[in-house]
Amino acid sequence: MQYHTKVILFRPVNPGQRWTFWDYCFGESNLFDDWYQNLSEEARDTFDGLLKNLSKTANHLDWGIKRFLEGKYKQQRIWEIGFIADGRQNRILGIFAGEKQVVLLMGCYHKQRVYTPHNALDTAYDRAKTFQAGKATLYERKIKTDL
Amino acid sequence: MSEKSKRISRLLSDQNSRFSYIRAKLGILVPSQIRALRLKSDMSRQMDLAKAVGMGQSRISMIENPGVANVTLDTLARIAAVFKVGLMVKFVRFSEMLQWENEFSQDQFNVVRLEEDREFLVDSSANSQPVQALGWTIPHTLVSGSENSPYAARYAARTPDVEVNWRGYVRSGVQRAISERERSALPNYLTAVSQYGQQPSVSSLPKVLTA
Repeated sequence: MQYHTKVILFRPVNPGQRWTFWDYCFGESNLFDDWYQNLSEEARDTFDGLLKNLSKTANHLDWGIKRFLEGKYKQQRIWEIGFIADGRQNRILGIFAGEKQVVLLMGCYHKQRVYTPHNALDTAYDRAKTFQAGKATLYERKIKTDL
Repeated sequence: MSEKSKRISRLLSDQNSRFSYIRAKLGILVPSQIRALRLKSDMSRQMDLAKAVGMGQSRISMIENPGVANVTLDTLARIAAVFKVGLMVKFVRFSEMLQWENEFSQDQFNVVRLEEDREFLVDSSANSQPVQALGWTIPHTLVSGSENSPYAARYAARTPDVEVNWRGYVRSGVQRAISERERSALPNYLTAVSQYGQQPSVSSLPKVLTA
């Protein structure tokens, strides 16, 4: 696994360019991947399929983003996108970080107004701040085109 | 054993593994197609689509949610009918399903609507070339008496001008623009009609039009 301490987020844009997704890591730990690895096989397949689809959808307004977080989270422009797997509403919290670049901060479950883990939004907020401060590391998430 | 080999082994041996794999693919691609159709239609808001389908907006929102795979065929057919597109559900190989997912793009996904689907609207039993004469307005005197179109003849007897397709079936209410090529072929058609004394036969019409 190769970690990047600093990622160049501003690349020249071309119309056919796909979105790139980066896992939020801290030190040597890929915190986003920890969540991913704990998902069921079906949830991982659904998540992989979702990222594959999003990477090819140029306008993020067509992604079906649930919402941008309000309140104190608004400053970090954290958004939330969902998918259903195993009969549960999964949520991914992320931020845009330059042209066609996305940082996946964390994943969680959501039911009615309750997030699991319960401090998911605060954690995402802290991670976004850490990233903005240049203290986080990122790892590129490969889009799966195979099993 | 690589991760991929393990996965293949599970897919081969475990029905639940296969089920969840299939469901994951459908759960992404079906909602994404609906979203693409909606965004490219004149019902860009979920609310508008919901009204047209006869459902609540929350239901449409749910159907477009990635991962949703419990949408009934009936609901899909209703949505397809609203968008004026067809719907195919077919069983395929796993590799074909994966290829579909890899090649699918919500941005590029577009389906020709029924009113623009010339292949479907033109009679498929045409002799060889698609004549596409739908929408021509032909004086009833040229149509009446045609052996090929008894219904058209009866209709024409009551109506000064009728819309007929090249076989003489009345397509009441269907208005189609005709191409320049078809327009230029119209005099040939009328000449042929006057020569034959009645509407040309089905087999001769393409030749007349392309003469």
